[in-house]
Amino acid sequence: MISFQLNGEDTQVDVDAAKPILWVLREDLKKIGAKFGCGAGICGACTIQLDGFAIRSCITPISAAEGKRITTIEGLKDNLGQKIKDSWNDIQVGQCGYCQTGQVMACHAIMQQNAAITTEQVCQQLNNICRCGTYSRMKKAIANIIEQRND
Amino acid sequence: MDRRSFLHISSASIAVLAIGCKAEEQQKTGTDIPQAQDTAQPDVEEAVGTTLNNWVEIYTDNKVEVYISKAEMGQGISTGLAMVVADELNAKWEDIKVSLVGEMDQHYFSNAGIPVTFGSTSTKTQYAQLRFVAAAARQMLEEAAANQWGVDPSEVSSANSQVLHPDHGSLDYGELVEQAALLPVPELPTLKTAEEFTIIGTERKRIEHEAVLEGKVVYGIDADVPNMLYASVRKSPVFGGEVLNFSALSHPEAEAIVQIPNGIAVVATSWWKANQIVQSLAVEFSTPAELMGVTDESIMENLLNSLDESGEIAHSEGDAESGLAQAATTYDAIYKVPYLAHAPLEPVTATAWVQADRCEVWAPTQAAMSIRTAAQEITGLDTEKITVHATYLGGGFGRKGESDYAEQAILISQQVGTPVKLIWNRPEDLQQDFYRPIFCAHLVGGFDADGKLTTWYGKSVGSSVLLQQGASFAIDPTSVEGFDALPYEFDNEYAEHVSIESPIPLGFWRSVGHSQNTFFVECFMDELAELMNKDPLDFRRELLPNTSRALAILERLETMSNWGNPPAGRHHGISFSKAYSSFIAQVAEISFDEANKQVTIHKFYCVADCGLVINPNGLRAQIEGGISFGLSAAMNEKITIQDGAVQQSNFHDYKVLTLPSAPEIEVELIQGSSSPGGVGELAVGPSIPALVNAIYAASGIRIRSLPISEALA
Repeated sequence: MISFQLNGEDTQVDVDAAKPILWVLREDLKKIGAKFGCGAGICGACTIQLDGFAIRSCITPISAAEGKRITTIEGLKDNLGQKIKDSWNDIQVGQCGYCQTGQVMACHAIMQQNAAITTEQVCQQLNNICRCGTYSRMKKAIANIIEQRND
Repeated sequence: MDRRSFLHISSASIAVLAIGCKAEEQQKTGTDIPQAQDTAQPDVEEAVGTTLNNWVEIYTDNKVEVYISKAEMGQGISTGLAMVVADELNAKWEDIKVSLVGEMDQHYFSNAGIPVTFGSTSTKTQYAQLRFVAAAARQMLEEAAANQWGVDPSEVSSANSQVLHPDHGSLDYGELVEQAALLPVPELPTLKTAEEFTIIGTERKRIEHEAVLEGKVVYGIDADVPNMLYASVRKSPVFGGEVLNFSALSHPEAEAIVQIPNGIAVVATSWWKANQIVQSLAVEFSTPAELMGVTDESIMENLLNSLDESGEIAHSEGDAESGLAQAATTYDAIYKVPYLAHAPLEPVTATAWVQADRCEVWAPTQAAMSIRTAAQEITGLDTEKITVHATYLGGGFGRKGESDYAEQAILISQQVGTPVKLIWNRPEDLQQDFYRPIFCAHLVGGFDADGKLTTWYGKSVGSSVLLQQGASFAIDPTSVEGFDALPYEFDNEYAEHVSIESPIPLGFWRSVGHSQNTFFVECFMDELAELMNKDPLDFRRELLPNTSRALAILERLETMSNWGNPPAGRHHGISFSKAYSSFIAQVAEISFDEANKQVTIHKFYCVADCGLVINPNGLRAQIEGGISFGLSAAMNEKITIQDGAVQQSNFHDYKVLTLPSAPEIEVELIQGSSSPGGVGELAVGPSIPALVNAIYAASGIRIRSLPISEALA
């Protein structure tokens, strides 16, 4: 039995301790927001947060979540999260959208760590893959959020 | 309000017409279509029948459901086509919802090309028909209201899902739908004029966008069927190899291990487990003798040698042979491009449930009907017993027009007797792709004594996707698109193509022939311009004297990019392309680190004329995305083959573009025609030569072989 908080709710799963968090979320907990893209921790489509830090859930075993807080896109409800989603929606960043939950979770984690972070710094750190190439809009959306933060 | 969904607005059929010949002809010559002239009325051409309910349903609570049969893979077609329907119907945009359906049977216009989402044709091939459908519904609703008020239909108007009359007020569509359903369907509905558009041409948000960010959109990979098992597959790494030791394979945690063509599938209660097992099994594959020793290098050597072979003539105007013989100056160059993978971020996946008397498949697909056909062949069931659920796609780019992965899922489910969700792992996705073919081209230009480029000669060697699929014609048009019949005006123009059989599976990669041909043509144009000491933009302009749509975008681009005057430390490169009934030109603005041979792509400027703009936001997004897709391939992408097997296995060795390296992109749109052109693939091809030409301007290095990272190493 592995126990953790999922989006604020106490959760327990009875699975192989080595099962990656991504597949526990998708198969056992029916949370489909985190996506599978590479299985090697490279593309970032599976990005969620563990105790507020971005992790690639396709290579992180569920045992690592014991006693911790998991946040997925379904539970991203704080002020910063809403700002990011609003900016993303405003700029219309997504095309197929498949990578975007991971992008938002990663962006949120990056911005959360540093209240004074610049757009350039966020863009240097946010290396999740988007095959549709929405990068130029992501950059604009990020710049808008940073601007708001600084207001 | 009670929503009674069984009330439809008529089941009678109407005639719907495709976009007429005249509009297409005008697109081909690129001549101006005056904005005032309303060619929003398609010419009368082939009319086919359809039923309103196949495409739009209006409910008593005023909600309008639009059926989208083209695949939504990020190009925004579901929003775009819904906008077309909503506008013509005079429906309230906020009340529109879309439902994705597989393109076949009642959800297929038979005068709309083939039932596949491909070739940047979705808007072009459904635009007119959907307008007729929506117009018919609008007219019937207006008539129903007029009847209720006892007035002539000419006295009413409609807007925002209401019919209006100056004296009688308004009636909601939802209130009228019962009566409207009883009326005869107009034979040839009257379409709105372009001036009457209220939604087409306006900025609209993607219908699914908010839901995407909530994790609520269901992609193919998210399909969930009760009692579903999971499968992962492994095919022979050498193409065509067979499993030699199937009977020896077993694993205590596998629910089943089944055979699929050239490989095996492991079925388990978790995909992670199925995948772990399939990757760990000691599967022995045969190694087809003809593929031993075959590498991408040996294939390219064969292509280059085949430049001496006789091919098929793709285009001939004037006399290129004489033109070159008489030229004061001739110049030539050879270009090469590698195999490319699609690598959509959602790997190929399909969920199938085969039972004795029915078969259901959920798949992200660009060709739902091909999956149904495959299901028929595999199960022997009739079409009425087969349902294909066409889901949202996490990227397609041409890969998801193939039915191979759905066929595997169907076979696996058939063998295990339960619903099975098949997901390919990323190595499988990269190694069992249908690749953009490897290509080379030899280009020769001939100038007269005045420095005019009189003669263009091009010969390309590659392999044909369509011929590999069993088609039979002299030249695969998708091999030579963008290589034959160039928009430039030459006295003599000649294009020849040599087609070589490919040992590697080939497929349609976003922009297909344009993906390599635009690189060949637009890089060579720059080399020719330089030979004559001409500015690359001026050089192109002089060769497009009668194509006003081309001149218009070049002029706008020149100003927009401050062409020729990049910021200090930066350099410009340009490209132009006419494709998909659209025109596009791009300027890349880069800087080059001499010491490390590093390219930084700062910005891309682009002006495009895609004819009638349905959703400007969506159009710009497709151009931005197409540029990124092209740059990604140009900078780093290459599939290498060793002994008939692909060597790349994940994004660490098949490197795609990421945000830190991505440029700013500025797009302007010119609407040079009132018929919609294609855009989904338009920006891919030209992005590459714009970049390569900029690198030359920055460094003096001519890159004639991709990817750039290899050329600069």
